[in-house]
Amino acid sequence: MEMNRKELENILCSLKPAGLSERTLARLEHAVCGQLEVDASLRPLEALLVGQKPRALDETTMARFHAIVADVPFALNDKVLMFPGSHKDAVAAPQAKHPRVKRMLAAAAVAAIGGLAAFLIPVNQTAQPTVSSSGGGNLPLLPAKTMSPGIVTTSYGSGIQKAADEGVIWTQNRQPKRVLRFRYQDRVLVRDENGIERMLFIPREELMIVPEKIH
Amino acid sequence: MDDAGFSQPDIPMSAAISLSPSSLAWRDWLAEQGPRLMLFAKSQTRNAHDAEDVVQDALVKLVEKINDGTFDGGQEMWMAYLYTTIRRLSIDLGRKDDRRKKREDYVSDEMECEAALKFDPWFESEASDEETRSQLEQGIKELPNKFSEVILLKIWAEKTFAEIGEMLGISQNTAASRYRYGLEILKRKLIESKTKGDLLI
Repeated sequence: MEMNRKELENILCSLKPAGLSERTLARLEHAVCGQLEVDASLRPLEALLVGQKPRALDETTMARFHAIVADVPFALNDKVLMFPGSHKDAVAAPQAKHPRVKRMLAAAAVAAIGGLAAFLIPVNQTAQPTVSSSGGGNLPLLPAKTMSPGIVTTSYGSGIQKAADEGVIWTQNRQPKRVLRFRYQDRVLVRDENGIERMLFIPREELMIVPEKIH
Repeated sequence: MDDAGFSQPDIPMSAAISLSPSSLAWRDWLAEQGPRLMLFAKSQTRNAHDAEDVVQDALVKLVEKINDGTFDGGQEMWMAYLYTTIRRLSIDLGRKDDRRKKREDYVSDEMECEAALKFDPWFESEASDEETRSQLEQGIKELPNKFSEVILLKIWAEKTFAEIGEMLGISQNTAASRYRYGLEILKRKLIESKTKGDLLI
């Protein structure tokens, strides 16, 4: 028995592990070199495969899949969602009567008032209402405010140039908010020490975030 | 046809007008991504009907996750989720089928499956390249799944080896090796085929 075991041990010791196959060797080399792409010899086949187009969905399958997702908001990206709902026809009821437009206009009005209020900083000077001949008649008459020695602001105005609905974002706490972007053109009429009036146009942009109701 | 060369079904004008922007966006998305999903599902299930069921179930799961706010990530993560779910559902389906086949006489099923494989094309057919397409398709269908799934994800899902590795639970080196082996096997098959002279490999 002892002899047999020894003999067996010798036989086992004489066995050599099989060498690596070409394929395994190549695989290990690729892994060690960090090479992931295929060799040049396989490129033509790869190109041939890339040229094959997966078969398009037939109408029945498309309808079947579409029915699953049709009522789900479509995420254009991680912040903007398109919500399902009836398509708004361009010739439908006047847009101003639409609740969303009303909401935008209301928000724009609040923004405009807010923007205007920012200019109404109390000054110690006596109010000197000035009627501008070059600034347009619709500019409000406001108390004069000294900007720098010799230059006096005589009136302010602000008008919305563009309002846009930027879509809905989701906040960190998963609350939907609608983003409205307003572009203003603020106008400031100033008079220098020589009595010459100049109109300054200052572009300004505001983003308003209002809660959005999702059904 | 989109930039990637995928053909899209025509949308009837009346349908396009009545659909909401969101619905239209989904339709466009399905027209572009649906063929890729179906291709992957067909390779996993080896059956067009099962593939459709699996893709549908995967979409339902995605929708549920989006609706209840538990989906992690934006639209760019949808496809990765769908591929992973399709694969998982196909494996589940395969296990169920195995159990069913032990109980039932499945000869007719097998025949049906073979017929489906034969007559359900995976790729668009263009008359000029019909023979090449047919041989490539047959070659891919005959590849072991572990190779074909990597090839499909790399070429038609346009995933990187790192992304494929993450989806399949393997390293990117293994994914790259499987891709290489798969192509080598496919190349051998094509060379061995009778009409090898027609192929540019």
